[in-house]
Amino acid sequence: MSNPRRHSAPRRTDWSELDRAAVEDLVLGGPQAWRSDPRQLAALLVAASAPARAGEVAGEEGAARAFRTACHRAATRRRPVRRVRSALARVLTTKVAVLSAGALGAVALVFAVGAGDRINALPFGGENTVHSEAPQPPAHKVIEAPTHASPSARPTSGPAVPALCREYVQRDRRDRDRMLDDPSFRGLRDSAGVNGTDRDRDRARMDDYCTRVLGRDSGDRPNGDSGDHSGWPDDGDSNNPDPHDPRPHHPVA
Amino acid sequence: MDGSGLERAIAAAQDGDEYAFRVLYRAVQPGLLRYLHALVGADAEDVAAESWLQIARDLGAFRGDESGFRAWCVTIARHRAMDHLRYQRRRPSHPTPVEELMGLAADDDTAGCAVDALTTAEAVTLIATLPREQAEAVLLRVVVGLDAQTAGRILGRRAGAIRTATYRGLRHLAVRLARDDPPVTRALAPTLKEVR
Repeated sequence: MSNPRRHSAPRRTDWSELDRAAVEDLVLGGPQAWRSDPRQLAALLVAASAPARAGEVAGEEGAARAFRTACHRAATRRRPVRRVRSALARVLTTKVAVLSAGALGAVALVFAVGAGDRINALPFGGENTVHSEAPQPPAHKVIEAPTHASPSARPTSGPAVPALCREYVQRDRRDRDRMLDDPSFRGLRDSAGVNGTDRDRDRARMDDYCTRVLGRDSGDRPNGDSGDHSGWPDDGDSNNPDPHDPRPHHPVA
Repeated sequence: MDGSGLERAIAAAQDGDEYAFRVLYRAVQPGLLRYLHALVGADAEDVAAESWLQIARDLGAFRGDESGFRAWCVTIARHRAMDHLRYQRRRPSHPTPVEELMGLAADDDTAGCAVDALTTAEAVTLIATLPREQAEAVLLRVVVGLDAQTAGRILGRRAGAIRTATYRGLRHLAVRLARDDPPVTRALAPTLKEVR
């Protein structure tokens, strides 16, 4: 590094030559050019931009300490956030699953007590059509036609299903057999999967179906334990009378 | 260190590499400290230390290349310096002893190094006697190594205005050097301590 006043060679002092372009050229030249420049101003720039002296970086340890502290804080900030986010995700997942199942259960109940006509107006899907829509408030839920109980399943019409079931289960066997042929119970029979080919089997299906409907209607089944969110009726659990029902159980909430 | 090397150090430091951070410190701190000397005089080291606290804390959020990193650091340091000056303005002022500034880099044992260091301090001190705009423009371009556009972004001015301020400042210094004012390097004028 050069000292303007101690430089062995005489420095030029012809500052009058320093027009704007010359100064810009000087600045852009950088330290290497300044060192070979005979002008005093160049020597000044060399001195001002000289490499670091020990005293100038004396604060390195303090800065490094600050860096370590910052890294530590950043790490400790990240960890709890990750933990909280994970826990929150678990809680939310559980809540969403419970709420959606509960909401759909409520929808099924609403349907059971009087929404049958509305269902009748809906187009039916295929045999295994299951609509696992995102959880919606029951009031806005459009229930898709339940077509999974059996290939012949159809929605009921007329009196509410629970009322029909209550009437059915209160009767003795002979009356129940009559009901299986009664046109006013056709909707119930269809929903239960009764197809008229085997009397004993039809009766068993009807018994089982009404038992499940009335059990749910009376609150025997806790909300949320149903795995099927496709709407009413729900037989996608272990009580499913048809073990070969291929519908996916427990759709992800 | 070349640009790509410093950029690698930036990336490594952002990943928590302390050695890389030290590389950044050694590359940036000298110019930063000299710039701060022009702004706050003998308090430059304190302000620089505060600046590095913030640099270390916010490093992870920085995005850019070497020039951008230098400019980012200078911007932080300048803000800290302005805060410091505002604080100082509310307190009784104490002229900065020349010897204090000249002791900036007097840690080396050899007389030669001390003389060289003194010369650097003298040069910075001389530049600091310029009007504030000119002094900052010269220091950012010559000492910190920023181009006119980047320096303009830091100072809130256009690149052309920075070139003009640089020209006027250096020409003024050339005139003073030509006169060979004996006390020129002793004429510590904490002009920038009076700003803002």
